[in-house]
Amino acid sequence: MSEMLIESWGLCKSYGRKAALSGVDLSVGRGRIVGLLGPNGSGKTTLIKLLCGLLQPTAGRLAVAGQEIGPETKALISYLPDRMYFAGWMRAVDLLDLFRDFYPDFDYEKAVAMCHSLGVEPGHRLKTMSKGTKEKVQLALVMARKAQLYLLDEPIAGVDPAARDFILHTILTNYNEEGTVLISTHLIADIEKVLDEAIFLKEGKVMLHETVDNIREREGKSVDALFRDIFRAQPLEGGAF
Amino acid sequence: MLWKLLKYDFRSMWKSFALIWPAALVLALINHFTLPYDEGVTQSNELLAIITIMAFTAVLFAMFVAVMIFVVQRFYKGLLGDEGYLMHTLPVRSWQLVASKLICAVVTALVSLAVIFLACLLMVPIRWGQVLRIAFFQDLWEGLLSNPDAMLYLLEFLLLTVTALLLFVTMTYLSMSIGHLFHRRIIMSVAAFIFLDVLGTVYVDVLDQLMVWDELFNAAPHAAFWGVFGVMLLPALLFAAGTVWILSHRLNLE
Amino acid sequence: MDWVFTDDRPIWQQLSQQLTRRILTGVYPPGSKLPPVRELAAQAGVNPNTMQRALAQLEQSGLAEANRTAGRLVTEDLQAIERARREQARQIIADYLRAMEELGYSFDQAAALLKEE
Repeated sequence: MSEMLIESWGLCKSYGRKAALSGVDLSVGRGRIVGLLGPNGSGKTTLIKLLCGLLQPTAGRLAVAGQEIGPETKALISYLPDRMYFAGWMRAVDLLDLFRDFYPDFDYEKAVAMCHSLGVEPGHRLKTMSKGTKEKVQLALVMARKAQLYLLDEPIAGVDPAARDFILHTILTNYNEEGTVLISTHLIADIEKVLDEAIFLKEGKVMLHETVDNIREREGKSVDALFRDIFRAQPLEGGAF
Repeated sequence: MLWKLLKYDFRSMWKSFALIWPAALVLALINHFTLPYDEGVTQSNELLAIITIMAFTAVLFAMFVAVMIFVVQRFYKGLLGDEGYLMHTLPVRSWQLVASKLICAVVTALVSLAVIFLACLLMVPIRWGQVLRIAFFQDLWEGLLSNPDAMLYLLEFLLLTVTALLLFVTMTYLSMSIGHLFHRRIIMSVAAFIFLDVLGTVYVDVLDQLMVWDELFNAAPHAAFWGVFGVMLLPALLFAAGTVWILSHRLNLE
Repeated sequence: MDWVFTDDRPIWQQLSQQLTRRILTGVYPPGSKLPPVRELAAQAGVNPNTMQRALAQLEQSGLAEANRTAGRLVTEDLQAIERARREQARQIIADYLRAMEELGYSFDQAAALLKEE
């Protein structure tokens, strides 16, 4: 078993001419909750999609638990995308069955219990549910796995404070402690106290990778405040055009 | 893993066709009673007959469209759209994802053909009482025994049908996969389809030049069947391989 | 008692301070069992590793002790609790004096005002 859970060397990804990630070197250990922080378009989602194999790198290398991205690493990863991935015909129970069939680390009873606590009947069509409920069902599925790596892409974007607390509580009480949770977000204040480490992404590069304790101790301010300092929109400087 | 994938693809097939297949059969049965097969049918039934036969035709047409949409949608939405976020993060290989969609698409088309065949049988006024006698099957059996080629022809015909379906579906898949590589996906998918079609025409032309099919059919009909089979299977396999390669090496879900 | 965090210091320090206050005010009486790390972390909405660090700090200052069978217990050493209480009091006084100094009161004036109230 590799010491590091996520490792990347000079990882680059571009869409056409636009570079989304340029030269990302990263190593993330086990048993951590890590914030992947950056403004929109900084490459957070790109990095997560590369990790779960939905995108292919343009250059550089990437490994999860010491292995190249493939079916073996996909079995270790529990991924919450930034969108709905249900097929129109599916009921909640179809999705539960699917997870049970493909992921040996999926706890079916736990997922059913989580659905019930959301007021979701497994026999109901997912299509008929509200957006918020669908998102919660998806989160329940993802967190009902005892995965090595949880990749949560913007889990708290666009939800009200009560739902946000529910989501963070669900993550904290269900994740596998030997595994690592990578949460991407631009809402840092909300999530800061659950993090061990923070990775700041800016324009496709890693600006900072540090433990939250160290940041607070060294800077004497919160990660959120530091983030605002680093990413404060620069006023147009003279001669830029 | 392929079996597990098939389970879900067949579930979605069932959800899509659970209504239209029985509807076609029921309408065929209705037509069986409303169609004026005999001279003595009264005028008053004519309107009803027209309505039922039109309904039946409409359902068959709808079924055809449904199959086409099913073939395209299950691949495009299921692997290249939002559902792809689920499918491509399952711990399976790309060829298994493609194979599952392909098998399901071909089976859907075959079942639809079978439904049409069955519907026709239901519609025409066969006197089942006369057909379903031991003597009939005896005749059939003896006929087959005395003419063993017939079974082989039937088998070959079925095989060719499956291969033709495979060819069409893989060509559609490859077109969509190629389209996926570009920014304007739908336009490029259509362009790729046209391109592959032209390529296919050239391929057939070249083979026509090389071989004399008519003579082959006359001299050795079975060999000719297998020849056609190979001629269709080869591009189907290439298309499938191309699709898998793109999905495993060039996948970019955005 | 709610868990409140400020921005200026590491969260584990604030956690350990707030846990201390809970022990001093009797929310967790001497000799009682502390909830497991994961539960405490969920309660406070923080990372379990952070809570673990805060509890380790509590052990170091003698307010809690790890027990192999019963988990983590609040100390029965009343002297240690008294020491911690005095430490907290000292800190509150220091904060008070600093605030008064900012307002322009001398130490003696501040002390006199306190008595008056």
